[in-house]
Amino acid sequence: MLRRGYVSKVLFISAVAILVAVLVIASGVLFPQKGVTVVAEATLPDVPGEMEVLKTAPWDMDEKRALNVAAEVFEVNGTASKPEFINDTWRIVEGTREVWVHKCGAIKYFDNSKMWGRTLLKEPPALNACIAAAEQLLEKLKANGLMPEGLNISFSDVANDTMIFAFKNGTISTYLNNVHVNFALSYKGVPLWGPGAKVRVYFGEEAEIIGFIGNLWNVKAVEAVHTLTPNEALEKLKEIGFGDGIPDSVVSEAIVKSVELVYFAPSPEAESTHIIPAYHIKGMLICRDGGTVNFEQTVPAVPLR
Amino acid sequence: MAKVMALMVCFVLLCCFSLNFVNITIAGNDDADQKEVGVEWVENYSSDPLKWTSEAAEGFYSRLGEIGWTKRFDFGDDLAWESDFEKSAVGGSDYLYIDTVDFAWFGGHGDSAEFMFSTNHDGDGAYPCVVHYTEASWGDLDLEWVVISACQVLQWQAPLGNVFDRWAWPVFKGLHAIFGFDSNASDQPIWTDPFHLTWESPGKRFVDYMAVPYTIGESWQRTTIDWQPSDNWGAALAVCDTATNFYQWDDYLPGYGYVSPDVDSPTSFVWRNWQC
Repeated sequence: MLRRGYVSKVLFISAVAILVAVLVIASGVLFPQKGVTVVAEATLPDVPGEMEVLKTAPWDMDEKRALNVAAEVFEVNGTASKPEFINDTWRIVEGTREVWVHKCGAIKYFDNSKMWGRTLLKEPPALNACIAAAEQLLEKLKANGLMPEGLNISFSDVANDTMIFAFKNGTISTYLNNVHVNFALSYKGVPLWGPGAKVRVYFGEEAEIIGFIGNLWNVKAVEAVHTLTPNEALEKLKEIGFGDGIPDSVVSEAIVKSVELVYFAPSPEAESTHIIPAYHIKGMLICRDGGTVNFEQTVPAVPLR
Repeated sequence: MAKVMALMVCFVLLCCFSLNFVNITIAGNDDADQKEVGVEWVENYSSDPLKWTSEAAEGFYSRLGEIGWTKRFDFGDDLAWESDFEKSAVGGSDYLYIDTVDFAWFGGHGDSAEFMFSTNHDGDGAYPCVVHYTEASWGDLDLEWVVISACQVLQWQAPLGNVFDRWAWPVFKGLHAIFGFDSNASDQPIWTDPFHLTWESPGKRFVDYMAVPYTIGESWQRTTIDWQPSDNWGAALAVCDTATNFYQWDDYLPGYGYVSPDVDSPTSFVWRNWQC
């Protein structure tokens, strides 16, 4: 749906753009403009000359095994309704509770009557009890052959989701929805980072487990590949840009604040078959108009195929 | 005879014009037909452009269209106007745009008091290039749910007051819920492989969750957890009916479950946040 007057505007702008493009090509000027200065204020990490690329393999998962996982780990008995298999995911439902088991090893468990802001905790559960219960859950997964052998999973932190009510008379009431325990994934000391790097256990009243998100990748190192040095990664950063669609022409200087070597874990429902080393780079851009913009970019640390 | 013919032509044209006008007016007040969607997104900010807001908004728009919703408008960059979200009292025209659909999405920059546009279309000149919370009054016509996919708009505490003082009491006039972020939000798609640029629209995934069906609030939380890094925090703000203990973020998409009635003058609200 175009606004009135925009058709003629668009036609006019298109004509001007074509004219400019012709003039630019004729004059031999090339886009994008280079010459962005990259200043590293961060301590650059020591990086081995070679790193392993990880291949993800689907778990040996069928309906029977998915039902076993649901029953033994989460006590969800799927016999009440037939499990569904949608988008490579087994979905097992019992009442308000459900388990999703993706063939890549991503497991989600939720008690939908208690997650999603439906629980107001009268008293927060004891944090030590939550951490211990979360670790026990991981042990159960391990006993069911579902803990990735190649990856290390370690306790990261505890957080909580909050719910607040406001009433016309000015009263404000605050509650906790849950307490959750986060774990970090790593491979040989290098952290996994990205949407597929979450392992989290949610707790309700009296440290009852009400939810779980686990990206339990089944990985195998397939080959050792030459690694870009951090300095080479910064050069690459200039080549691929600073993310967020910021054109080089806008930027005069990039100040790099941190460079972290990670393994990038994609969304667990992805069809990607590899987890590869990458540099997670954060910093600040100084624009030609004097403004500053934070940036965050991921640069592959190994050659792409 | 020629005069009669001319009069008849004029009469027919007048009827067509009137019907067209009536049709627009009815659509604006169409609270019964709960299946209209509109999206606006901005990427071409002069000092801090974004890259992925169009994919998020248009994934939402297209997917709702696929499941039978009427796609009313999709305005991006210079075509996205702040006045489309602003009430007529401040020179806005929400009664022609945002408040004529049931579900709306804005994607762009924001902070705790406002969300931002790349061009100036402010009716009274008070807050150019932004929709400030004092300029919004939603749901008095049609709007039920809106996603503001921008940094910090639903931040709990801010210099201008808590989230209820900013986005609840002045804004909700029949609106059921606002979905957004308590913290910053990362401008990215749901990466399935960033190095080969394969990705999924979070807007599409949001609709997929609502079609499972999960409630709208639950679907937004699930989407943000799949989409955003765990440094970021999602948020939702809704009318709370204390008599029935119903939070209006627990509406389902129309046709998939219960949709609560509009509350024109809410007496209580509920807000929550979660780690992505």
